[in-house]
Amino acid sequence: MALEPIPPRELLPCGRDADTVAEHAAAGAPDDHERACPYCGEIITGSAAVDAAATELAQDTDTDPSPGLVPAVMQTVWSELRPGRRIPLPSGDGTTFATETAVISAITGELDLISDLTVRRIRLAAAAGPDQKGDPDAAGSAAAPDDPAALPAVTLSASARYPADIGALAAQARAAVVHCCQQLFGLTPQRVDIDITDLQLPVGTP
Amino acid sequence: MTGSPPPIRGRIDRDRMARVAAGAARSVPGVLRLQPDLKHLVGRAARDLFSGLGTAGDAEVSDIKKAEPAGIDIDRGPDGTDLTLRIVTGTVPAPHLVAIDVRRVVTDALTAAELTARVLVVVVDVET
Repeated sequence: MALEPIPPRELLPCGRDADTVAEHAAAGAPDDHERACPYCGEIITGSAAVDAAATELAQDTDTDPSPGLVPAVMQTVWSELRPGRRIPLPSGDGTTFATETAVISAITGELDLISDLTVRRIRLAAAAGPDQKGDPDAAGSAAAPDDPAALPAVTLSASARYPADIGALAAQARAAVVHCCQQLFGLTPQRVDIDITDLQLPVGTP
Repeated sequence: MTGSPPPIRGRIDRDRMARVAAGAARSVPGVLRLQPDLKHLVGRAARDLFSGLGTAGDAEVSDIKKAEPAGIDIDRGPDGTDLTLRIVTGTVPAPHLVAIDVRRVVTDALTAAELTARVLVVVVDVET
């Protein structure tokens, strides 16, 4: 197999290698010839302009988007691609539903108001409805109760900010989940399981 | 006599039904928008790709002209016609109440337009 020839390096009319001159310029150490030579001077000027443009571009593009933007975008994408099962709403007589994604989205929004808690994941064990679509694994496996307003279980994992009282935090989160489900969907979770899976230490803690 | 559903006379009535439903649903307080399903999004992307429409705004116009408005499915079954609306709501009014309102308003609008369908409403997302 033939190897492609290595292209010759670009030599300036003065005999210097352009890449070497640029490297010296970037290091801030051009030699005497490079300082005096007009050809090398062009390379040094161009190199400085490229460095300045790259720095400016990096400042523009390395900035994080506003907090919450990426999760919001991903939530929309997720809700369109994988809405989960339909949960019959008790007030709708079999004609109104909420997707699991909608319920989880609302619960997440409610829990985001609790400053010492960061939600990692929420799962629902949804009541079986007459018209369900989506991933059968997405809703857990709890049995559906007879009460049409019952949502068998909400399971969530979260991290807590140290040194919050974990017990009080869990109780607050549980109350928020129940309130959200009842107020927004007319559903009452029969159980809310909360796993605190991590502690967030204050910034600067070794 | 079989229990055949009342007929929808082809594409025109189907589009008319979807348009009436979409207009009524969007008028209900608490409805932020109708949300297309994945099938609809893929169809729209394919139409854009092959027709060279290019922008989302043009694609939306194309949807209204050529197919059911995004966020509405019409299915004929043995028991009649089901019209399903996929809505995104805010938290106020409560989504389950918004869904009931949407169902009522859309049913009334279809009746007024001499169209018949069982209206189903699905809250697909809640923006907090």
